[in-house]
Amino acid sequence: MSQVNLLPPELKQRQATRRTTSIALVAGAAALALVVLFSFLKSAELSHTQDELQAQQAVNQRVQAQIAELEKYSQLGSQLQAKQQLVKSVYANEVSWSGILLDLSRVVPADAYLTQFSGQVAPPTTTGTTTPSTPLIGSLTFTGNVKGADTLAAWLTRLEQVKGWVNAWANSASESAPFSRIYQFTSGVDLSPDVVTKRGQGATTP
Amino acid sequence: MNDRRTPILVGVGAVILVVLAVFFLVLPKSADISKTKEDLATAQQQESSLRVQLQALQEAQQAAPQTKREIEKVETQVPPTADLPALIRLLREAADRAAVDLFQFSPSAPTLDPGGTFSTVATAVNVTGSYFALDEFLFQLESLPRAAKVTNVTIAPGAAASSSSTTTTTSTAGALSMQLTVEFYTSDLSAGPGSSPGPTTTTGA
Repeated sequence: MSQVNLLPPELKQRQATRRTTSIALVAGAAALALVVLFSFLKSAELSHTQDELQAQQAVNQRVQAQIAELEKYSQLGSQLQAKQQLVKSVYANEVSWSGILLDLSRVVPADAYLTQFSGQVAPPTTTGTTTPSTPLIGSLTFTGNVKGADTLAAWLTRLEQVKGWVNAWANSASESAPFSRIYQFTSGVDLSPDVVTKRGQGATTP
Repeated sequence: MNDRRTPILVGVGAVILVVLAVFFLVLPKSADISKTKEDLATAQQQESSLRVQLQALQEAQQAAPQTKREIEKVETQVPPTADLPALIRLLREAADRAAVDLFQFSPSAPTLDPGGTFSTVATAVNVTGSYFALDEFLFQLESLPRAAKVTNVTIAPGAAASSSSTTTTTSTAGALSMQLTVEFYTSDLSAGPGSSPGPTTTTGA
């Protein structure tokens, strides 16, 4: 037994359109609701992140305040460094003259004595043929008397044996009287950086 | 015909509405979130570097008493003023310890170092004594709490002590006379007669 639809086809068509429109409306509203919900979630996330940022900035400000409070200690360190550098500068090229006098007392031969000694810490004027490769920081000059020319030679040899004493030289030697074999001499040595004290080496040489 | 287009129009309208909502509601918030997260990361990095700086300063704070002692020691070596009275006493004490006669001393006016960081008080000193007493005096000068650097030494026999009132000269047998140029230092950049009174230093020195 077959069913017979007695409704006119226009009415049937209208019902189908209404149903489709309703479905589209519901789907659109649902999508819109989802978007709005997503938007709310994003707002919450943004708010949370902003709170975190504010908290972090507050922490940073607190740390910066602590840093500002302790800044004077950093200045103290800088002050010490500057003063230590100053001390290094003033001691640059310092020579232990007490050590030099001790060394001198050890190298004077038995048959010799000095009548004058002088020393200075300053680069000597170059008298050689070429500029020395080793920088010289000063010089010592001696005046004295020796018994025999050999003693004068021994004196020069012994001068060179002291660490930091270089370029031993006799400027003059003259016999005090004919055949007396007593010579008056003047001699000198240059001082190399080896004679500089430890604290004098701590600085850059000017 | 119109009835058939209605669902299509409704669908298109809904899609447009959803797209507009995404553009105006969701995307701006996403951009804000990204920006805020970047700012947060920057702030966190800043905190790390600030913590390192703070730790260094806290260590400096703990070391401050030691640092102050070292500064005081350095200021003893290179005082903030020329302090000539203390210098004279130091020379006299060194001479007494070495058993030499402090015959003469002439502090010259302080001169500013070419580097502009300190002033030098070059002092001519003349002492008399035996060879090893002179050696001891030089050692005492090297061991002074105040920085002193001998730049010239001359030793010769014939120590003489003259008296201006009697114009007599006496010699001590076996004694030697030593003439020195000793440099003392001060961080006062304007020291000596005619200068600005009190310490004058560069910033941080």
